[in-house]
Amino acid sequence: MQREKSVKVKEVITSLCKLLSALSVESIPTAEAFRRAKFNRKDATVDMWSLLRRILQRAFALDCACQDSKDQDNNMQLLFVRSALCHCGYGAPWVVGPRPPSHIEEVGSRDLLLAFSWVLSTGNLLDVLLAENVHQLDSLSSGPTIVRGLIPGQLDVSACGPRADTTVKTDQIISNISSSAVCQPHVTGSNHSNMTSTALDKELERIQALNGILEAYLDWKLHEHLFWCWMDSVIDSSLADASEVKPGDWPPGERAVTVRCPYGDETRRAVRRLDKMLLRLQTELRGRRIEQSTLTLTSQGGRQGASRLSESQRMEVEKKVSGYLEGLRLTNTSAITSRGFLPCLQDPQPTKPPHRFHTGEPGLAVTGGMLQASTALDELREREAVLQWQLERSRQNMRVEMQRQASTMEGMVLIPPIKR
Amino acid sequence: MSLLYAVEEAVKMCKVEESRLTENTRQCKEILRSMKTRVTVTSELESAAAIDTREDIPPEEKQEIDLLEQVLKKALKIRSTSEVHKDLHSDSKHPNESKNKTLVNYTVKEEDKRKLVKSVPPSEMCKKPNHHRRAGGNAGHGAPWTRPVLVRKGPNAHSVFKRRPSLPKSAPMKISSTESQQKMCVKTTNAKESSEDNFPSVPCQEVPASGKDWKITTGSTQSEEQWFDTVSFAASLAGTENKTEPFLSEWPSRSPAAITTDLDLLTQRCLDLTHCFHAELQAQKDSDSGTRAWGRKMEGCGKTEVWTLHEREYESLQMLKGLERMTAELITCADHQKKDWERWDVRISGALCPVRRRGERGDPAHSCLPPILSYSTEAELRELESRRLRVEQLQQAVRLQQAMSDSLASYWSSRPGAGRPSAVVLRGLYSLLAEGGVQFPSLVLDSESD
Repeated sequence: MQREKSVKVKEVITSLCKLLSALSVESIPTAEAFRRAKFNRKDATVDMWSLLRRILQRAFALDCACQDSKDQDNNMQLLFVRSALCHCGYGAPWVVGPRPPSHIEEVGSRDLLLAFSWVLSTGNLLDVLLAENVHQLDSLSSGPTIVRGLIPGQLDVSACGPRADTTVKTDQIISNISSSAVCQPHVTGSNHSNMTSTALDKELERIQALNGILEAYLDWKLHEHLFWCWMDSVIDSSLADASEVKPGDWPPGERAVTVRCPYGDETRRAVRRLDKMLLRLQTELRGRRIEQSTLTLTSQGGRQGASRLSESQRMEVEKKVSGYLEGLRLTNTSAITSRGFLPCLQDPQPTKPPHRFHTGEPGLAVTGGMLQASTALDELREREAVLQWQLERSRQNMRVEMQRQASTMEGMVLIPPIKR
Repeated sequence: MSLLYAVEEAVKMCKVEESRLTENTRQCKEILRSMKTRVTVTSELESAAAIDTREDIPPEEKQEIDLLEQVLKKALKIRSTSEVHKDLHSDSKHPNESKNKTLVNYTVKEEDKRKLVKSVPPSEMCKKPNHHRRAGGNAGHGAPWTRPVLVRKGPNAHSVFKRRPSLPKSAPMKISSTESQQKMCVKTTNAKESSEDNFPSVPCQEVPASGKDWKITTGSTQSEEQWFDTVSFAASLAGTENKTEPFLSEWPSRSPAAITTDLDLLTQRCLDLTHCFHAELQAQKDSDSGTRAWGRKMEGCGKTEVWTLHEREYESLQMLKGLERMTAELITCADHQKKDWERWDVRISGALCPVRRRGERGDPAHSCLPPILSYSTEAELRELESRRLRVEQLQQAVRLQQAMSDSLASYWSSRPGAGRPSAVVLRGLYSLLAEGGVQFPSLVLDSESD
C-alpha cells in the first residue's frame, strides 16, 4: 500500500510537471526533486528555488523601480520572490518575518516547496497560465469579425453533457476542446480555397498544441487531490521538525544587510491618499447640503421648497435620483462580458433543470450553469445608458463653463457648433 | 379535500421539526455557554447511542466519515501546536472560512438521513455541563450532540457556499470514534464562534500524528476529496504560519493582492463620486443663473423634461444626500481595507516591493477563464458584441473626460487673471471637452463697424 501510494504520488507530481512544461514554464525539476524537498534536503534547494522564481515571474511583476536593477542579482531575486509571495498572502517567517534571510541558501527546500504549493492553491495560478496559453493559441484561429476571446463554433449544449468533474472550469475546457475540434473543420471548410497547405498545417499544429495543454490540464485536475494529500504529509513533517528545532535559528550576528525596497510604502501612501480624498469629499458634500437646505429655507421665507411638491412628484424625483446613483454604482463594477466570453448556441429545448450556480455577481441570471445572452444584453444596455448620461452631462457642463470663459473675452464671440 | 389534508400534514410535520430544532438549539446553547477553553482528551468519552448506529452506515459513507475525521484531526493538530490566539478573526481568512462553511454545508446535506440520527437523550445532555465543570472545562465529550451544533449553522452557510455545487451524497452524521467526535465538536464550535465574537482557539494536547493512510477513493466522492484536501492543506499551511508568529494579534484576513485591488476600486469610486458632485455643483450654479432650461436627457427616451424650480431644488438635495450616503459607505469600506493593510504592514514595514499581477487585470477570487455565454440567434450575438464594444468605448470616453476636466481645472486655476485665454486654446479646449473632439466652435471677432 505504501509503495503503491508513493508510486501514485510520483505519477501525480510528474503530471504536474508535464502541465507546467506544457504551459511553457522552463526547467521544471523532476518528481524526485520534489520528494527530496519534502525531506528538506539541501540538494533540492536550487531546483525548487528556480521553479518558484520562474512561476512567480510568470504571474507577477514588480511595480517599482527595483525591477530596473540587475535581474541576476541574487538579493534582488530573493526580494522579488518574497514580495510576490507576500502579495499572494503567504506570510511565512522567511517571507515577512522580522529577520528575513539574506541568502537564498538560508531557506530550506521544504519551505520553498510549501511556498510553491501555496501559490498553486490560492489565486488560481494555473488557470491564469492556462488562460494565457489558450488565448494565445486560440486567438489565431478565431475569425476576423470576432474579437478577442471568442471562438467561432456552433457548440451544442449537449456536448458539454458528460461531465467527469463538476467544476465549471472543466466544463469550459471540454467545451473549449470540442469547439476547437469543431472549429477546425469549420474554419478550413470556409476558407479552404484561400488557405495553402502550409497554413493548414500550421493550423493543425496550433490546435494540437492547444489540445495537448488542455489534456495535461485535465489529467492534472483528475489527480490533483493526491498532490494535496502529499502536501499535507509535507506539512506534517515540517511541523514535526519545527517542534524540535527552534524557530528563527539563523545565526543572528553574522548576517549581511538584507535588501529593502525604497518604494515599499507605496500602498501605505495610497491608503492615506484615499482617506484624504474621502474625507474632503465628505466635508464638501455635507457643507453643500447644509448650505442648500438653509438657502431654500430662507428663500421660501421659512417654508421648504420641498413641501410645495406633491407626494407623487417627490416620489418621482426620488426614483430618478436613485436611478442616477445606481448608475454610478454600476459603472464601477466590471461588466460580465468585459473579459470576453465563449459563445455557445443554446439548445432550443433545454432538458436539464437549471443548476443553482452562484457567481460573484449579484442579480445575475444563470441557468444551466451558463450565462444567458439576454441578461448580458440587458446589463450592457443599462451601462450604455448610464455612461451616455454621464458623458453628456459632463460635456454640457463644459460647454457652459467655456461660454462663460469666452464671454470674458472682449471682442470675441464664441459660436458653438450646430447640433446635428 | 385531500390537498387540504396533505397541507395540514405538512404543517404538522413542520411544527414537529421546528420544536425539535429549537430543542436542539437550546441544548447546544447551554453547552457552549458552559464550555471552557481547555480541551483535554479523555478516554471515557463514549456514547452508547453513537456506537449503535455505526453498523447501519454503508461503506462509502464510512469512507467519507473517515475523510472528515482526518481533516478535523489535522486541523486540531495544527491548532494544538500553535499558541493561544487571542481571537479568531471574525471574517476569517479564506481557506478557514470556506472550510468551515464547507464542513457545515456538508452536514447540512446530511439532514436527509435524519432517521439515522437519534435525537439526543436529554439526560445525556444534562450530564455534559456537569462533566464540563467537573473536569475543569473539558469540552468535547463525545456525544451525538455534535449534530445539533451543525444544524444550527446550516441555513446561513448554505447560501454562501460558492465553489463546488455538488457535494457528497448525504451521509449519516454520526461520527462514532471518540477522538473525532471531540474534534468535530471543537471544530464546529470554532466554526460557530468564529463568525461571532472572539473565541480563543482551543489548544489541547498534541494528538499524535495518525498513522492512518488517506483513503483515496475514486468515483463520485472524488471531487469532495479534492475539496477537502485543498482546503485542509491551505488551512494547515495557514496554521503553520501562525505558529512562530511573534505577534499574537490577528492575522490579516486577506492577501495584499486583494487589498490593493480593492483600494484601487475604492479610489476609482471616490473619483467618480467627486466628479458627480462637481458636476452637480456646476449644474446648480448654471441653473441658478437661469441661463438655460434644466434638462436631463436619458439616452433612449429622448425627451427633455423641464423641471420646476422646486423639483429641481429637491432633486439636487436628494442627489447630495445620496452622494453623502455613498461616500459614507466608501469610508467604511476604506477603513476595513486600511485595517487589513495595517495588519500586513506591521509585519512587512515597507521592506518589500509592490507587486502586481501580470497580464489582464483579473480578480484572483473569480475564475479567469471566460464565462460561457449561451445565445439563441446569431443576431443576438452580433448585437451583444457591438454593445460590448460601445460600452467599453463609452467607459473610456468618460474616464478621459474626467481626466481632462481635472487637468483643465488646474489650468484655469493656475492662471487666475493673467489676461484672457488665447482664442486657439479656447477653441481647442471647447472642442475636446464639450464636443468630444468631433466639432469645433467658431470664434468670431466682434468688431463694430463704424
